[in-house]
Formats: sequence, structure tokens, C-alpha cells
Amino acid sequence: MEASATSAGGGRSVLKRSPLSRLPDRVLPWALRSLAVLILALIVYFFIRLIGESGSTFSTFGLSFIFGNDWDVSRNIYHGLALVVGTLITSGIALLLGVPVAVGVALYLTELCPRRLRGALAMLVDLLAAVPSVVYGLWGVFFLAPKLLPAEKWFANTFSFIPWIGGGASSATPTNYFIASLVLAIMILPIVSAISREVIATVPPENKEAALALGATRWEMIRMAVLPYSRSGIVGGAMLGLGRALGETIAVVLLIGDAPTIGKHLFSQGYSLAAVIANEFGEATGLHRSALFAAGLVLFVLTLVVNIVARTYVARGTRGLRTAGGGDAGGGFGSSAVSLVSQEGPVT
Amino acid sequence: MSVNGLVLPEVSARRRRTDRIMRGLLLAATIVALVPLVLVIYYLLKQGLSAINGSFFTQDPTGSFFGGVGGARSAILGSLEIVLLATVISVPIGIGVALYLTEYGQSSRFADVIRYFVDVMTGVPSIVFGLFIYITLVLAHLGGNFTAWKGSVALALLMLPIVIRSAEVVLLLVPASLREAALALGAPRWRVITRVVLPTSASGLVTGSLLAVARAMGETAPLLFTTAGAAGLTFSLSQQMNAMPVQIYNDILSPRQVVVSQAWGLGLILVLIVLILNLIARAVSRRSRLG
Amino acid sequence: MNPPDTTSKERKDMSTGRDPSPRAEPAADASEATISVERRRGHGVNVNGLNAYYGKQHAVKNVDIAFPANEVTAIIGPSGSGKSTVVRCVNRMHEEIPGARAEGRVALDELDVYAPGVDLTAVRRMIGMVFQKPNPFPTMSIFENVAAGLRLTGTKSDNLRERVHRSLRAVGLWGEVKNRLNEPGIGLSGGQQQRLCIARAVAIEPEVILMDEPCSALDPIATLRVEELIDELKSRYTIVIVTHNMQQAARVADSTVFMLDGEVIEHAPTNEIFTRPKDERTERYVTGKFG
Repeated sequence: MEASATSAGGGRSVLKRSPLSRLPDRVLPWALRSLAVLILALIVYFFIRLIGESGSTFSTFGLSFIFGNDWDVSRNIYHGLALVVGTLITSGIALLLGVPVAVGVALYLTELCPRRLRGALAMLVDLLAAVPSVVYGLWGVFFLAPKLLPAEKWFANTFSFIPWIGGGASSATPTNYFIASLVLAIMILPIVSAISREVIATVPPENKEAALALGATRWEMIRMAVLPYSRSGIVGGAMLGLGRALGETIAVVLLIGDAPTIGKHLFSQGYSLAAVIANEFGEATGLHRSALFAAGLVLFVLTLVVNIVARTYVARGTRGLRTAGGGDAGGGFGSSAVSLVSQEGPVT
Repeated sequence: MSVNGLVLPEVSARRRRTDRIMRGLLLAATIVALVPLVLVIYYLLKQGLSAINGSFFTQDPTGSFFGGVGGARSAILGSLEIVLLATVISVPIGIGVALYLTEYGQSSRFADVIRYFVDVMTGVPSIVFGLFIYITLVLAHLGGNFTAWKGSVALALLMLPIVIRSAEVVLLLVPASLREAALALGAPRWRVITRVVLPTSASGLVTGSLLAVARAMGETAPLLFTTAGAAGLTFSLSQQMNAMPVQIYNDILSPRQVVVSQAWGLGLILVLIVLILNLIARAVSRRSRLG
Repeated sequence: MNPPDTTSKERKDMSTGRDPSPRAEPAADASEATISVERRRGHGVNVNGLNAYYGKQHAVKNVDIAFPANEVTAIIGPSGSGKSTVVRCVNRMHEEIPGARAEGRVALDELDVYAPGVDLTAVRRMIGMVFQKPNPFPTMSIFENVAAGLRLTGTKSDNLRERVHRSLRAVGLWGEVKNRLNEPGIGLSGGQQQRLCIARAVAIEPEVILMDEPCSALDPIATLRVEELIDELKSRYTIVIVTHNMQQAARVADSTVFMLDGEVIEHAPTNEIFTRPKDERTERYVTGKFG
């Protein structure tokens, strides 16, 4: 392969390469490295600009932008507690609904499912991630929300004694916290499930055999050998799902009801940080627009923190196992967990 | 059960029941997870097919409150154009950074910082990327206010971490022995990259890029503040341009039933395109594994 | 259930007979030296007409072996001769491998473990197994590892502690770990881990213990310790050990089975198999001419 390069050197010693063919080797690492630096610098620059643009909001409202509960465009007052609360409520409920199902799917596919079906089922679950969020919004608005409204009313009536859930059945609207959370749960399901599946697949077969040889049933084997081993990875996956849910915009803006107040119960309308930006940005100017930038900043920091916590959690959990486990099994677990955490969207 | 004084221990009914119930629940979870997929696809087909007719692909949305609603031509072509530019920007840069990480940076401290940073970038909400581009490019009135190319840049930012991480995983799969064999022949590093590393991992790189493209195709939020959909057809990247997700979003908000039904039609087309991209990506990666 | 049918024949106490200098196990506990393993009448295993398959591959061909109670039976043979598969068929672990199946009769005394209606978790409770690689549960402490099997049947806490301690004593691990029962089991050395796994199998008081090359991942000193343990355990249990190490078979086994290509070539008292084998293939194998 190098015949051309060496012969181009003519009469010179074969140990010396022509400067021309060596040039790329000096330039390339430098260029690639600066590319990486550039991206890094760009994001930092964006971040600083975002802080700058939301400056007037924070100088006007201070911390009450986050902790005050009064978002009124007509009076030019932007206290965004309702947005933060709406974001946290919908994401939290989405986790509550989505993670158990996602982990259940992962366990079924890796431990119980007949092998012939496994590939096809896994692909179908992954396809959930391929549906764009605007299509989930479309489906949620015109199918899910109207179809579920009677059930929600019945639920709110029947369980009216439970705080936050009951009461206000008459005021239940098609768009509300619950329906937004439900669609969010569907949207994070494939990611959480894919990560859980990969983590569960790294459980050493020896451990599973050890459990079975002790006379464990399938479920006991899962509880004894599979879940403890993969717990940290599953938690990390759930946290990444949380990060997704916090930042999800279009499906939420269509389904949460876009009311800048803190809903009294599960089935009332609310707002989220991402939704307010998407919904109000078009006609916002001046302080209003700055407030929306501030909402973006809060959202950015929130998702950043969740993601960093998720990744350190996964890293710590896997490192613990790796050092303690010694051998190859632990090492494989650690490295695959690190690579799979980066895998978003449908897994190849 | 007892034979010759040997007693087989009884498995308690409780344990058996727990096992059965939990197996059932895990199966139920899988079925529950597939219900939304089936319902979404069913309704897309049911509502969407009727909206797709001849003029769907030949006319642009009128956006008016009266009269005909037109088709979705500008949205489809606009999406393809915006995403194409985003791909042209993000894939070379992404693979370049991945090459730096695997071939030069390896486990240096700086490479780890970049890796961490890219990981964190995957978690940034897409709407925040939209805001970034709005602040830096739109507010600066760089070549007009809202333009298609700014939307492409926003999507490219979104695609970058996906491309980088998937490319890094694939590049790491190239056996070290292959690299060493080429280096031992006296090839300079860059020739090893262009002649050995990239060709060996080509199909994997294509897969990762296609998945990033599929992801970008469906993104609405970053486009809202960057290209700000215009109904009319244009091929100029320095003008406002329509895109499928934006058009669907606007259609959903419309009070007119015909417009909403057009959203279903466009949703169907969008999901089809994304699905096809996903399937191609899978097919490519499967072929590489066989070969 | 398990009458302590004690024959007063005092066992030659391995732990006192051994040089007590702390080479592999420092701080050998005094109480450990005084424990006497009570003799218990065990149950033998009879394998008749066993055929096992992995998919289409016929791994075990029409095998008949009797594993007598309270004896150590070694199975030797070259790699791929089906010796591991035979023991995995005895406690029905073989069928856990996708595509694997077994036919024939495996009887614990007179109880056919493959009979319809036999619960396979009960079978595995009666027939414990120790694997090639020490496999303590990585997330569990030393105590929890031994308690794992007992917890399945809901053994209450006082009794549980009693039995965990007794099992650790029985495998000679008590002195080494009694002060760190709550530390992770995978923090132990390889040999200690393997004895921990034996303690885990012993804790649920099976009738039979199957050992699938239990020393192949251990160093010579740890191997010796496990071999001594096997000799102690046979007073209570029927033991089957698969090994590729003929010296090991010669040291621990009362009788030895030689397998080749999925068939039993010869089954005889150990000293006969190594000194005057009847079959020419056995002779060639034990003298190192092939395998």
C-alpha cells in the first residue's frame, strides 16, 4: 500500500519519508483536535450568550423568576414557578409510568422471551423512538386526549379522596398534566428500555446459573442475580429518560394545556418550561422574550444537572462492580455501559 | 413426592404463584409498550391515507382560513433540503471528532473531556439548540432574520453528539491488529485512517449517520425559531423555508378540520421517511456484521 | 427429613492432620479444627440411557452411570467429550441453554428427576452445583451469598444465621471470613470464592453436589484446599466431579468415569482406572498419549 509513497521518495533513504507525505500526519491531529475544541468553545459561547440574554429577567425578578408563582404576559410579570412545577410533575409522572414498563420489557426480552421473537420485538419497541414528537402530539391531541377524558373523569371521581388526584372531576379538560405525562412516558420508554436491555445483557451467565442451580424460579433468578447487578445501569437509564422528558417540547406544548398556573390536581391544565418557550416565543419581545430565554436557561441547567448525575451514577455503579469483580466480566460491563449510555434513539 | 424415604422438597405455592404473576407482568409490560405503537400507526394510516391525494405532493399549503388548503409539497421538500444541509455539516465534523478521539486523543485527559462534553450534549433539549441559534445567528441578523440554513445549523448541532458517539463506537471496533499491520508496513497514520480505518468501519458510520438524520427529520422545536416555516415553496437556503414537523405543528393548531386531516397525511409521510431511514440503517449495519 | 444416621466411625480429621502453619489461610480458627463432620447416609444417582443435544449436535450418547451414595465419582475425558453435559443433565441445568434438550432417565435413588410433574426447582435444590469459575453473586455480601438459597424458602433469621455459619464452617472458610461477613463475596481470593460457592450449595443441604471442573480457575494451593474439602464433604453428600486433571481424579475420587465423544468408555474404581484400565482408549488417555 505504501509502495507509491516510498517510491515517490526517489533515491532518498527509505527511512526518510518525503515531507509532503508526512505533512498530513502533522496537520490532521491538529485539525481534528481544533475541531473538537471549536465545538466545545461554541457550546460554552452559546451558554454565555443565553445567560446574557436572560440577564434582564433575572435582574428584574431575581430568584422569584423561579420561585414566584405569577406568569402574566399582559402585566409583563414573569414568575415562572408554574412552569418549573409543570415540568417536574409531568416528567416525574412520566418516569413513574414509563420506567417500570420499560424495565419490564427489557427483562422480558432478555430473560423470558423465546429467542425467535426477541429480535422482532426489540425492533418494534425501538421503533417507538422513531416516531417524531410532533406525531405523538398529533395523536395525543386528536385521539388519546378525547378518548381518555371519560376515564380520567371517572378516575378523578372515584378516587376523589386522594389529594392531588381527586376533586375537580368536572373541571377535567382533555389536555392536562396526566395526558402530557402519559405521552412523555411513551416517548422515554424505548430509551430506558434499550439501556436497561443492554445493561441486563451484561449480567454474567454464571450468576444466573448460580441462582438457578440453587433452585430459584425464573423470577427469583431475576431478583437474585439480574436486578441487583444491573440496578445502577437501570437507574442511569431512567435518569437519561428523565432528561429527555424534561426537555421534550412539542408533544407537551400540545397536551399540557398551556395554562400558566399550577394545576390543582392531576387532571388540570398546566405549563412547562419548554412548552412556554415554544408557545410564546413567536410574539414575544423585550422582557417577555428575555423571560423565555431565562426559561430556556433554567431548562438547560436542569437537564444538564440530571444528565451529569445520571452519568456519574452509572459510572460509579459500574466502576464499583468492575474493581470488585476483578475479571473480565466486570470490565466488560463497565465499558459497555459507558458506550451504551451515549446511545440515544433507536439502537442499531 | 416421596420415593424410598427420599422427599422432594415442595416448592411452596406462594413461590410458584409469585413466579407466574411476575412472568405475566413482564409479558404484559411488553404488550403495553407496543400498544401505543400500534395505535399511532393505525391512526396515522386511517386518518392520513385519506388526506393524501394528487395535489398533496404538487401543491403548497395555502395557510388561509378559507378555500382550498393546498398540499404539502413545500414542507416535504423543505425538510429534505434542511436536513440534507444539516447532514453535510454534522457528519464530516462528527466523524472527524470521533477520529480524533479514537486515533489521536485515545485516553488522554483532553479526549475524556471531549467525550464527557459530547455525552452531556446528547442530553441538551432540542429546543435549547433552537434558542442558541436564535441568539447567535437570528438576533445578529446574519444574512437575514429567519433562514433555512440557520435551521440546518440547529439540527446539525443536535445531530453532532449522535454522530460522534456512534462513530466512536464503530471506529473502536476496527481491530487494533489491522491498524498495527498497516503501520508495520510503514504507512503513515493518515493513510492508515483513510485506507484502513474508514473503509473498514464505513457501514457502521453510515448507520450512525442515518440514525442521526432520522432523528433530525422529526425535530420541530429547533426549527421554530430558526427557519420559521413559510408556506410557499423555495429552494433558497437563505430564505424562510417550510418543513414537515413545523407544518404539522401549525396544522394541529388550526381550527379547520381539513387542515388537521392534512396534518395526519403529513405525519404519515414523516413517519414513513423516518422508518425507512431506520430500516436502511439497520440493514446496513447487519450487512457489515455478516461481511 | 434428614435423619442424622450417625455412624460413629470418626473421620480422619484433615484439618488437624494438616500442618497448621498459615500459608494459604492465615488465622485458622481453633473452633474449625474441632468440628467433626457428621456422617449421613446420602442418596446415589443413577443415569440410564441419557442422550443430550445442543440443537442438532448429539453431545451425550446413551450414557449409563451409577453415582454411588457418599462417594466421590470423577468424570474425566478430553474437551468436548460430554462430561460437563452429563452433570448438567443430572440437575437439569442443561435445558437452560437455548436449543439444548435431554432424553433418558436420571434417578435420585428411585426418583426420576425427568418424570412429568417433577418440579425442576425442587430437583436443583436436592442436587446442588458448583461451577467452573467461582461465581458468587457480585452484589451480595459473604453472608448473603451463603444465605441466598435459604432465603428462597423463607428460612427465618435465627435459623438462617445458624445455617450460614455452619455452612461456612463446613467448607473451612469460617475462620477466614467470620469478621467480615458483610463484605462483598467477590472481595475474596479465587480459592476462597470457590469455597464460598460450595458453602452456598451446601447451605440448602442437597443430597448430591455436582462440581463442574471446580478447580480449573484456581491456583495449586487453593486447589489442594478444595480437594481436601471434597474429601470431607463426601461423608454427607454424594459428589460428582468433572475434571480435566487426572491427578485430581486420582486424589479425590473413589471411582472414575472415562468419557470420549459423548460415550462412557469405562467406569471403575479410581486406582483400577489409572493402574490397569480395561479399555485401550482409557489407557492411552490416562497415560497421556492423547487428549
